[in-house]
Amino acid sequence: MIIAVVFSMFFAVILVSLYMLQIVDAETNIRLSNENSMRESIVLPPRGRIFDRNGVELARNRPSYSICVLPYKLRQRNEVIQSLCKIRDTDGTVVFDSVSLAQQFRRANSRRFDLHRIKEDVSIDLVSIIEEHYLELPGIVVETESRREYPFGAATFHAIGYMGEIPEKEFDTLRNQDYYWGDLMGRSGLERYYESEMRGKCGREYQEVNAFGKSMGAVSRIQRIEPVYGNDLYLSLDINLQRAVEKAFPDSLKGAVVALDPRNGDVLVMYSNPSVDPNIFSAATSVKGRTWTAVAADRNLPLNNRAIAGVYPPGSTFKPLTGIAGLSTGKITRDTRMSASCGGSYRFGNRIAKCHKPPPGHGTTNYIAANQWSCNVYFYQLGLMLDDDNINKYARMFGLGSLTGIDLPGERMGYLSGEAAYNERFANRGWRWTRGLVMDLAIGQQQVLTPLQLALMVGGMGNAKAIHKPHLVKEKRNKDGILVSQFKDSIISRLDLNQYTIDVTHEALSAVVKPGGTGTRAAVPGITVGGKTGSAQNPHGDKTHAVFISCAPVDNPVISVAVVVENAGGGGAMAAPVAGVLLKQFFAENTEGKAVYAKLNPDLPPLAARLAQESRQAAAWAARQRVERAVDEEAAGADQLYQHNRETGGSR
Amino acid sequence: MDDLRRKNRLDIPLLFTAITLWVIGIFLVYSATYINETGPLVGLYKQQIIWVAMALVIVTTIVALPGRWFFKGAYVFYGLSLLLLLVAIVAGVNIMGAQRWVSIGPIKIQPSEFAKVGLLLALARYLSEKTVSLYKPSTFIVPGLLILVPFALVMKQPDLGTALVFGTMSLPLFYWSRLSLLEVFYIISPILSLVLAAIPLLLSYSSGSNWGVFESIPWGIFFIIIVGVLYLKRAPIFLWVGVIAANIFTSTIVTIIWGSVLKDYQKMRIISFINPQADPFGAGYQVIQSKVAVGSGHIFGKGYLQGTQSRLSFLPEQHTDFIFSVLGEQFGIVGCSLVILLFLFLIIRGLMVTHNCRNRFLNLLAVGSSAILCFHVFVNIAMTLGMMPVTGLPLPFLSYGGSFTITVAILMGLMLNARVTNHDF
Repeated sequence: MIIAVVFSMFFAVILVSLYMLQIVDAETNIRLSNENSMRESIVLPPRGRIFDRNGVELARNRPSYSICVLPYKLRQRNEVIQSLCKIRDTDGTVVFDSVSLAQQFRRANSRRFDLHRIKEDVSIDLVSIIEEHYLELPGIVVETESRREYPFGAATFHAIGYMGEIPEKEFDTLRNQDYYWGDLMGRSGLERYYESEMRGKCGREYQEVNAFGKSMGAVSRIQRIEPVYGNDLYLSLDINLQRAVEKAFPDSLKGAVVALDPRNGDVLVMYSNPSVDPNIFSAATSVKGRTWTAVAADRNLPLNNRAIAGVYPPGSTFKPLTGIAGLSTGKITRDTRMSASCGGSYRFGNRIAKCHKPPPGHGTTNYIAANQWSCNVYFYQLGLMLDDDNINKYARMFGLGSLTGIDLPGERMGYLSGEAAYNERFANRGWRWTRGLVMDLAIGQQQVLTPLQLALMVGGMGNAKAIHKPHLVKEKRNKDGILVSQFKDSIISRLDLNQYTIDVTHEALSAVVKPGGTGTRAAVPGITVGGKTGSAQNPHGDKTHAVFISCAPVDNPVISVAVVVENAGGGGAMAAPVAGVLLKQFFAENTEGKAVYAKLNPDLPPLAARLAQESRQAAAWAARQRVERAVDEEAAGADQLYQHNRETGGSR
Repeated sequence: MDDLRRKNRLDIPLLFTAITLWVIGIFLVYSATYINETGPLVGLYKQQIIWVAMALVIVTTIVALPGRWFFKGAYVFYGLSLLLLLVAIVAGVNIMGAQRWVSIGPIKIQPSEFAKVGLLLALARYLSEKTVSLYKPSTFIVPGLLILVPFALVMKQPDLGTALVFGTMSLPLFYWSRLSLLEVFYIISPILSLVLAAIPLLLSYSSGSNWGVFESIPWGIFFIIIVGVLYLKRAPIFLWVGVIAANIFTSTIVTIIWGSVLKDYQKMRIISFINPQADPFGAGYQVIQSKVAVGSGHIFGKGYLQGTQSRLSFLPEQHTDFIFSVLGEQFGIVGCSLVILLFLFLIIRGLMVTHNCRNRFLNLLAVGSSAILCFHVFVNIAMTLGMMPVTGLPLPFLSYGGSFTITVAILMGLMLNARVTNHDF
């Protein structure tokens, strides 16, 4: 009997203990069990994509897999390391090495409940190997994430920008806005400017995980918070033009090209050289780190978007604006000749200012010829007639000297100079404004402007009505393609010019591109192209910056272009050809350009056909030249042989 | 005559309880090894069904055999089981640092399980013919040796749990063969001494401080009580010497063992029992997860196959040693209490066999079987609930495992046999 009582007492003890665990401590244990088996995971919506004006994808997302470690699930660390080190990729290379793994595991231990990447962006084969062996790899988890991909790489880098991890400084403010440590965000360009628009809002879900840290799917009884998708951007950019410019731009030189539609501010091309392939920044950290160091240390500053953040003296491309000031104020007319003719230089006080053409110079010219040949002496005198205030009044009318407000971060406003501005700017060096500096102002050697401002300016000269705010994004659409918002055309400044000024300016601009002008290499058959070359002196190199601005057709432009090639030499030789390629491509291939061309040349075949024929003829000519040369060479060779044989007497 | 036949009938409720528990066990093993994806444990429940079927055959066979066969074969069986234990030590399969398995062709068996039965038969045979008494120490020589040999062999493996089974199953048998409660107290006093000496050691080890002399205070009090009892009961001089020497010996040896003999993993097991949080990812892991599993079952449990702890592989050994936590998580306190009441009924019923059975040998077998089952159930569940160190004793009827299921079947057969068998031998 006593045995039965003793046995029953054992069972009573167990029942009491059960009561303590399952009733008294139930709440704690249920919570622990949930914490054990569930992991809150952030559902990041796919980032909005970016398209060009014709719907070509410029930025998209691709799925990517990372091998992560969940430290608190990591038991038998050394065995896991050993198992991982045995894994080989399809090509037979060992994927992990034990030293760095041990190091990573140790570092990961500081935040035991967070995922830590140990191998980023791995192949799908490696993922399946890891998934197969999850029983031997407790705590090793595969995470799926999406990475940004830019099909056109370096060509679109500066406009679109790149993605990178949140910088530490910004994380403090961003953490309240749905950002997490290590999240990616746009770091430059449109990616940055439209960050919140494209990112969307994170969702949340609870995932069931087993003891090895492997996710077993979402927990259905807990409501999932759906992510809000980011919007897609549709740009005004034309990727075909952009790529044509990339190809035409001299590779080894720095500079920028901007093309826009002066009627509404659509940016058609925005290119800056040197460029970087932004896909590198979405690659694995190991790859990124190496490239990043190289890029950041590059003295050519490839990350700089020179189109909006590069400021250059406009040089002679500013002359038409000085001209507009002169024409508008009635200081000159089309046929005004200056009192001093150009003999290669101009004497003002004891300063002798040179014209770019050495003596005997341009002689006495009217306004049109002065433009066509870009005569400095003419504009020195015009500048002196106008003064800095008058010139800058018209410069401001064209939107120069202030931010254009384009939808990109990091735009610079440039500098217009003038007495007050100059004295303030160089006060610390003790420099004072003198009247002689007006001469520099008149030929564009005092102020600095961005290529974007130059493109707007020349567009305004052709358009003659208003300067429209430049923009890259035309439309935002949601993931189903439904229009969310559209860019509203806005005018930065209205141009108050009389018709005479406009006509003369158009004539002057087109004269530059006509035979005999400095910018003939930008000519497009069938289109009256207006332009102006510039060779801006600068303190950065022994060669001038080659600058070319252009709009076409000159009296009602649908495209305006600014090309700056740093330290390349003359604008006519180095910058105008790039604009020429761009303009030809525009009128031959771009829908809008083709329409304009067809309207202006109703009886002629399309420009593309004409250009093709021309290039065929050129090729045929070149081939003929080659054949003739070869024939000549052969004859010469035979001659030589004959001579040689005759001398040695070895003819048989 | 009619009365006699009624008494000798097969105990249907007892058999029915055993079968119910076995069926519950199959369902629990299925739940414990049911994982969404393919794993090494999938399909183990089928194996368990085979074991249970074999168990039923064994129960039937044993019930059908005449009781005197066991009486005659007791020492032979004991000898065979010792032989198997020796084989396990010499040519055993090493699993997790312990040599517990012997391979016979494709079948792996655990000799220590059969040794439990062997010792039970041998002790019952001996005690059915002789009585033991502390006042005549020579009576303890033979049963002492009977226990000590398998005890030593099992400790060699090492398998502390089974060794303790040998010790604890003997006590009720001795008591049944006319040992007084006082004598039982004398026998277990060295063990109590050991525990009382060990507890302060463990506490100071896990708290990382040295308590010096104060560590011996609980044991000191207990020692004074022993001396008092010996004096009041006027124990003979050799009992004085024996009991006091044994108590001093165990309390000193525990300090020495703790200091130099115990392996680190054994120390951690003991420490993690006292404070599982001390090593939550090592030795304490099983206990913490098991407690969380049972505790999160609350009143009615999470439902069959719905336990996250077991389904998501948080419980190691969930189909063997920790099967009770599967039950606790999925069926709550209601399910647990039901199963525990079934166990209690089975064990008490096993003891009650002795009311109707006049054969001393068979009664001893029934008491011993009950004791073995009771000890397993208590130690296993207490371990699952974090009240005892992890000893690796499975839970009868519910745990997966061939050798143990068959051992339980033999014990059940012996219990039932006491009812139906012919008593005259």
